[in-house]
Amino acid sequence: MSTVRKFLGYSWAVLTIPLVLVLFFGLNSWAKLLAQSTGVRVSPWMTGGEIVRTLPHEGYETRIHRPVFDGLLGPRARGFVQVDWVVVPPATKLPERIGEEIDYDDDGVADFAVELNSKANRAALKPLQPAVLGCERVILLKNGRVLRVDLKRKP
Amino acid sequence: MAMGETISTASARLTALNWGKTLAWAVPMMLLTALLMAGGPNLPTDPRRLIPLVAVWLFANFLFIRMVRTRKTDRYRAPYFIAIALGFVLSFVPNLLEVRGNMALTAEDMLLGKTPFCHVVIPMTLIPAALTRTIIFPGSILGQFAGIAQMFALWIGFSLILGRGWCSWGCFFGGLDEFFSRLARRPVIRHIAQRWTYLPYAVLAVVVVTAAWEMEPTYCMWLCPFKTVTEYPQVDSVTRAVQAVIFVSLFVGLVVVLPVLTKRRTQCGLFCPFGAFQSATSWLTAVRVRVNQGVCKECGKCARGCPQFSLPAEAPSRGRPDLSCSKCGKCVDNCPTGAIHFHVCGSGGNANAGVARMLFIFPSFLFMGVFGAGMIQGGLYRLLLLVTTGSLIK
Repeated sequence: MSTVRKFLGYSWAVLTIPLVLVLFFGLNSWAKLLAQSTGVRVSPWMTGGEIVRTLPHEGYETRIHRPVFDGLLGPRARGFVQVDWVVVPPATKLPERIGEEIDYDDDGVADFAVELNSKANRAALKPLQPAVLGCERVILLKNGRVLRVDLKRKP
Repeated sequence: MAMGETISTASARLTALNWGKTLAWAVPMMLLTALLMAGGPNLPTDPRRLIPLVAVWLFANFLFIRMVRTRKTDRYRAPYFIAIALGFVLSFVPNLLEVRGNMALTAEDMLLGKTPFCHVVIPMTLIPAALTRTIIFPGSILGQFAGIAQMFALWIGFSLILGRGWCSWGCFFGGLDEFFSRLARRPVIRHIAQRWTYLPYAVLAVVVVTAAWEMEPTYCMWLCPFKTVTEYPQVDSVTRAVQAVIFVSLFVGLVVVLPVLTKRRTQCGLFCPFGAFQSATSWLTAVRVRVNQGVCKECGKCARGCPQFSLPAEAPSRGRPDLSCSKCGKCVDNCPTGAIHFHVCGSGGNANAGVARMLFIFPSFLFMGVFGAGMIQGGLYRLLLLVTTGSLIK
């Protein structure tokens, strides 16, 4: 038994040398394989979640992401919905003021009204239903602005 | 028997390995590091890129040859390990200044997944990844630079090869507190209570639970000292200002002041949650550090010199260091009788300690040499840029 253990120990110790080479030579392939086999993606709390609707306007478009309530074991009570306003060429910048009513859950009824001042990077939010709680700071993008609106989950 | 073993082991440790055996290990290392550092047949034409590449290859192989020939592990590991950390900071920060104009990470960068992923985040991501298949980090899965999947693949590989050895052979932050821990001639603070060595496990538990609860990497947001010398969230609110103060305080305290005062790696040994987490992978590795109780004279040199508090008083009688041992080799270098040695799992005693040591240092040095080469080269490139243009950035 001790001979077997000794053989296994030395074998593993020797194998670590080619393992270093395999690791470095194939790093990008291993990374792709790992990403594909696990199917992991970056958390929607970081990315804002998938874009579910795009509303075209003159010189820009409004992108509405899916509401994010993703929690560890199930949906959380509080979350957010992200709205992006992105410049569409040939326009080079957003209009100074954008006023829009957003229906984030696509039920045909506006959920909040937002007034974006793209020059001052400020937004004023008017909730049109109780699940809308408020908004965070406007995030400046090179080609637009992003706003996250805090929500509570509808029962 | 024990006395005979003591004399023969100690004398073997004092004798330099002959040149034939040294070259038998060194030539493969020279060839493999040349192959992996160059990354292909086309060498850079810009001398400011070529000179660092050649210099790092020479530096690495000089250290490896000395390590093999003199049988001293830590003495020739530490300079390269420290150079990695200094090179990392010296290349990373000017690169940020070139790309972004400052070290601050904006909300846009985070939203667009432009944050480089680092190994310290890994423990915090595992529970959310297992339960939600998402990574709670504002990076990209397959990014060009420090992508999440690349770092995970590296982590799996180095855990199999090095286990906790990562902390002394791979971590590009660890060299900073190692550097400061070597500045003073003698420690001002000599005794640190053993209970403090449990702190990293407590920090690990707190950050893993809070990260899973908050679905964000809480250690990175609140406690990482190395934000001070890499990148930090843009200070645009009171919360961000508090976080910045915490980052700087922890860096000054744990990475600079305490290592100077104690001559130990206090950030790595008393705080780092990744190190605590990595301890659990040490059982995967083939080569470990062991104490031959029959040979040990209990002089205490190993425990006094251990930079990561892994050798408490009872370690010699137990025959092994704590799980937190990062296999830096300092205790092996310090031991006057050869009682502490590298040991291949399943083999008995320290009869083949020399072979075990080589089977450990070859893959470990190869990993460190290649993984850190780009960082040292980057740092040297910035220094050459400074000399030739007067600026660290283009």
